[in-house]
Amino acid sequence: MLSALNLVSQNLNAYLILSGLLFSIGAFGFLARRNAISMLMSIELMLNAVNLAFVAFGAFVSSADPSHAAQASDIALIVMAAAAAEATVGLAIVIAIYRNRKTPLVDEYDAMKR
Amino acid sequence: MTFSDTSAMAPFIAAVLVSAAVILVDLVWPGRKTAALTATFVGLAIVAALTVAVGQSGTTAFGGSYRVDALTTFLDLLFVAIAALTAAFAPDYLGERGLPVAEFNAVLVFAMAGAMLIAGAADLIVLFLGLELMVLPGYLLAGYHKTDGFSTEGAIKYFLLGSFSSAIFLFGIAFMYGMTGTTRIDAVAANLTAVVAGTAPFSPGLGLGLAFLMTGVAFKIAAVPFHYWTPDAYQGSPTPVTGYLSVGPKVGAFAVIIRLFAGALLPMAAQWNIAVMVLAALTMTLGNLVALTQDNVKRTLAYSSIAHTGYMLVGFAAFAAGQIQGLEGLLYYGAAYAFMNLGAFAVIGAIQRKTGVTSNLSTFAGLVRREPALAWLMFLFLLSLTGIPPTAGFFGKFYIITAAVQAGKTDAWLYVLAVLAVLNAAAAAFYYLRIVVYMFMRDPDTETSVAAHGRLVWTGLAVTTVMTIVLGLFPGVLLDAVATAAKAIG
Amino acid sequence: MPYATLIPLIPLLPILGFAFTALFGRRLMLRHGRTAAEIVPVGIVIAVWVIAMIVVVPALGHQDPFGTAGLDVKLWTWIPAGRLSVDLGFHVDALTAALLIVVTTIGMLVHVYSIGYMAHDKATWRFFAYLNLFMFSMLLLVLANNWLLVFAGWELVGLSSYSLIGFWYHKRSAALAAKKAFIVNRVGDVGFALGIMAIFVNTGTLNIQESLAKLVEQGAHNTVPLTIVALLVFCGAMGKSAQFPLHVWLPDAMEGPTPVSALIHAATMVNAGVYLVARANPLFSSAQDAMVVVAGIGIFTAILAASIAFTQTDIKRVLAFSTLSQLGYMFAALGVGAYTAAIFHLMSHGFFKGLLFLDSGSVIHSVDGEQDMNRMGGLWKKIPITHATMLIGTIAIAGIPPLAGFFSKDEILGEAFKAGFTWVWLIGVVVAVMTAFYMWRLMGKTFYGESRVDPAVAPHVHESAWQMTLPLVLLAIPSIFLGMAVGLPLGNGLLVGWLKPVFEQSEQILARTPVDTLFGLPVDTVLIGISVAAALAGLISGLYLFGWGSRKVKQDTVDAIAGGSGASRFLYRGSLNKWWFDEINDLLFIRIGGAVAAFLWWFDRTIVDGTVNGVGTVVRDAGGGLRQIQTGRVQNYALGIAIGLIVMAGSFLLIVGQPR
Repeated sequence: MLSALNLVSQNLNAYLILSGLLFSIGAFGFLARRNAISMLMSIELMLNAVNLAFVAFGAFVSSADPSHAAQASDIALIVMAAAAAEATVGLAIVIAIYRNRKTPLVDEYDAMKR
Repeated sequence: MTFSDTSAMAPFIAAVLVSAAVILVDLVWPGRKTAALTATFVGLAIVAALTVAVGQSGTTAFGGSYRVDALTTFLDLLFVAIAALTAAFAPDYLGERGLPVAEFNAVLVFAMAGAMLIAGAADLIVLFLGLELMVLPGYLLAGYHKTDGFSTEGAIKYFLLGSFSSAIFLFGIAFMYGMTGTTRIDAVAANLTAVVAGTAPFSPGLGLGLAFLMTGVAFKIAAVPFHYWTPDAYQGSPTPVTGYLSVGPKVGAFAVIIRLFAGALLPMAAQWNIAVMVLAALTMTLGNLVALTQDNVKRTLAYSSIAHTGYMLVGFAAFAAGQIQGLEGLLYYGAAYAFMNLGAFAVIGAIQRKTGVTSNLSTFAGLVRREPALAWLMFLFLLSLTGIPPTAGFFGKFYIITAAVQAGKTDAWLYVLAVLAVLNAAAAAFYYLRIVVYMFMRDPDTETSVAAHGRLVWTGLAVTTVMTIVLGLFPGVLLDAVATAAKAIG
Repeated sequence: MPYATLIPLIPLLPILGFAFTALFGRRLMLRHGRTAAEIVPVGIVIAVWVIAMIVVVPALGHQDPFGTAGLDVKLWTWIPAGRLSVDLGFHVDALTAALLIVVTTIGMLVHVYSIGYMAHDKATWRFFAYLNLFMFSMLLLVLANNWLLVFAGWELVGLSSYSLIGFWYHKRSAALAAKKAFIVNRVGDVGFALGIMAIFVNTGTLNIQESLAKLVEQGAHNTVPLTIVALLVFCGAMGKSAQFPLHVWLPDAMEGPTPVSALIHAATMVNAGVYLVARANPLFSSAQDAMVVVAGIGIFTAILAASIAFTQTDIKRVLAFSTLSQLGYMFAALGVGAYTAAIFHLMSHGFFKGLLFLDSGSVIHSVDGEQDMNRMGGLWKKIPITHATMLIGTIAIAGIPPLAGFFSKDEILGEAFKAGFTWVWLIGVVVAVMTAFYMWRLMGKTFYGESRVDPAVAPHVHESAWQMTLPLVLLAIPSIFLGMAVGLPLGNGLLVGWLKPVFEQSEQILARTPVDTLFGLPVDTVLIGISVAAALAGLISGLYLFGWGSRKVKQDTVDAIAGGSGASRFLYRGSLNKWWFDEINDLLFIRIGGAVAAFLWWFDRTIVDGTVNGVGTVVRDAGGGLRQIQTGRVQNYALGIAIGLIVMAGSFLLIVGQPR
């Protein structure tokens, strides 16, 4: 009988590669999208990739010491909270500039002297 | 949470409470500037007193994730001073533009609390939290003039890029955690020592982690080539905020560097110091040369702040090469730079008190005739930023460069870095001097009426002036504190 | 009062005077008139002179508490910490005393003179504030007992000189000249700063006396580091004392008010470099390769500047080039190890050149601000005091015995010859001829012959006020008698005795064997004969061409040389255009330097941005279906960060991944 657990890869590198891919997709989205909200979402994606890395590391690296595994998920929760705070601040700023410029597209924010 | 936990973290907790108190005071007496200001300054005084009291006990909190040592105390007091001076300089400028003072102060104190968390961090996650708590209010402050296009534009650039770099930084922490199995700074250092000694397995993940961490902090201190956000964010922000941004988050980010690289990653100094040196060389040189071409004073000082980051990095590189003097110099420079730069920005803010006054060079033409006191004070701050003796800036540079020269005996590249620093200090004179020339040797374009400045501004200017002179003439007053603080690490 | 109290007062009073005048001068001048604003700064400088004289007399005589080693006055410990311990304080020995005489005496007379000279200026208070600031900085530089304090004074004299050159900033040329002076000095300062670093690295102390002692000790084993240190220090000296190739700022500095030219750019600040090398004499004596460089640059500057002075028509510029030339003499003297002679010339030159500059100011004042000698002439009867004192100055600088210049210049040439530097001596003699000639050219064109003064101004030509003529007369006295007073008997005068302890160590290191006879005659007699003959030759040819009394200038002869063919024409053009140094510098530093800065700026915002844009385009095109993606500035910055990250990660993987 195939246990559900066996479907989960036992290889740390697999998780790290997934995390790296997610991070890269987030970074690419940040570089490629011109809408401030989309960029914000990309950053969230990057942070989630980091969370995945944390949890994976927690599960594999310190299997000898179970307290560390718990720590990894704590970290993930903390990072989520920080990400939420960041999103809040970000949205506030986006709204402020939207009121001034009537556009969410960041490449049109270029009033500053070069 | 035990009593010893609370007592060790008392200054930080107090800072958060002060921030909340300022908001409450504003709720009770809406729009009463005096009430909000009184709450801020009394609160900051309490925080400072608590810092001094706790600093003598030397304890850890929350299972060792937060630790109070001499470095924490030194940095905390510096952060309180920066916040207090910013709070003193801002009301005039904000009031004229109809911006609320209470919220400003509350946000500012939050940022200060974040910096204080960094200063005491003994765990990488606490370090990250402190960093976020410091920079998030910073984004808000940059966009504080929310009806002004420049302010919000600077803020969104600062925010987007800052968050991007925070994610990179956090990824670096994840790697360090994965490679060493812990986030406690001393445990990380112990594990890395084992790796360097060859008794523990080595992984390329360490290299990646170092790169991510270095990129993250290089962005926060605005080191070249991660500096692009600086000029826009600085020029766009309301002037008192620019002063704060150029000092508070910068010293805070250096605190991150010290806790992270001088604490957790020190065993691998031989591997990462070359990167620090390259960053230092690029940062000094590019910052200074580009500052030469600017004709907006805020932008000039933005680039000059990049150059100052470079000098501080020289001190750090000297430390990493084994000279504790380099770290002392870095801390001293941080304090000296905080006072002189805040002073310079306070003068700009005072000149821009009336809405619509730009920070272009032409605004400064003939300043000595319109506002002689401000012109002479600006002259002093610029002298200090240039590094002309006997000012604080001179001594800071002198200390750092001597440290680099001493360290040159172990790593010859530091000689090169020291010579480069001297050359840069010489070149920097030109753009500072240009401001002086405009103030003293040009006639004003238009006759603008002189604005009166509040007592708080003058008090703040008096403090920055005295510190700029005293730190230059009698550096001994700070050297002991700096030496003890540096010893806490080395 | 004990000396430990008096000595700190010397720099302290001027800085207080500066603070007072800067803060209250304007108000005092507006409410109570000019005198009210002038009384404090001028009074203070007179007081400083009195105090200085009280200190100087026992210091020169090696009396207690000065002794032969000098008196150290510690103010406070600047840096208390361990290895880097630095005490702030003053050191007064005979060398300091000699400088104090020049600085305070001329400083005082220039302050008095300025009362008259600046009588019509609207911002006199500011002028006096700057002058006091300058006095403070210069005295700090001279009195300091450690390199850092010297450096502080060094930077501050530069700063006050900058503000005084640009004092009439409405004149664009003045503002430009100030900037030029600052920039060129900055180049020298970098050298000096590096020199101080090098001294600190080698000796671990910044105290002048201690570090020199340690350097000499090391010099016995290995002179290479010492040569580097000495050359770096000399680099600073070259900037302040305007030696080739950093000489370009001094002639332009004449845009400042004339009292400034006399005080700063003739008698005091430009001597700082000479003082610095003399102060560091054990270092230089232990690094003889560096000394040859000093001598070479000195004597080259001397002849270069003299050749330019031949053709200048601006009275102050002639004097400026003459100053360069005389400073060149001093460095030549330092380079051949004749330290005493250099200081002797520094003192006598300080007096007679200060006098000449103040005279030129009096002339300019009398002809309503005209500085072109082609629009002067025949003034000698109208401004007799100025004429008489300037004549004294001219004879003194020409080197005619028994005036001051003869003794000091002869000593330099004699020492150079006896030390075996025949080439220095030979060029020095040629320069002596040239000096006498161009100085008489100045006299002839200014005072004699027919009047070429603007007819509108001519009727108003008048002698200056007593505040201006009194300093002239007072300065004429040392110009005549200084040499006889301290220079006799030749080679063993009072000054030699005073300065002996300062230069004793160097003499031991150098250990020169004196040459006694030449052509069967005592060597001194022969050399003096040659010097005097040279001076007379220059003077007589000057007299022949440019006349005296009412005799006319032989303009046709001059024109014939100027308009001649081949070599003479080239030489004339070269001299007139100052050998094109300004053009060369403009190309090198302003054009190319400016282009580099502009390029970096462009690079920062265009190439980096552009590359990033380019990469953005690549990303976009590579994306195929993602064509609608565009990059804004924020993305460019972010891409910059990303590229930086990738580079950093790559290098770290390489560095960290290396097997150990």
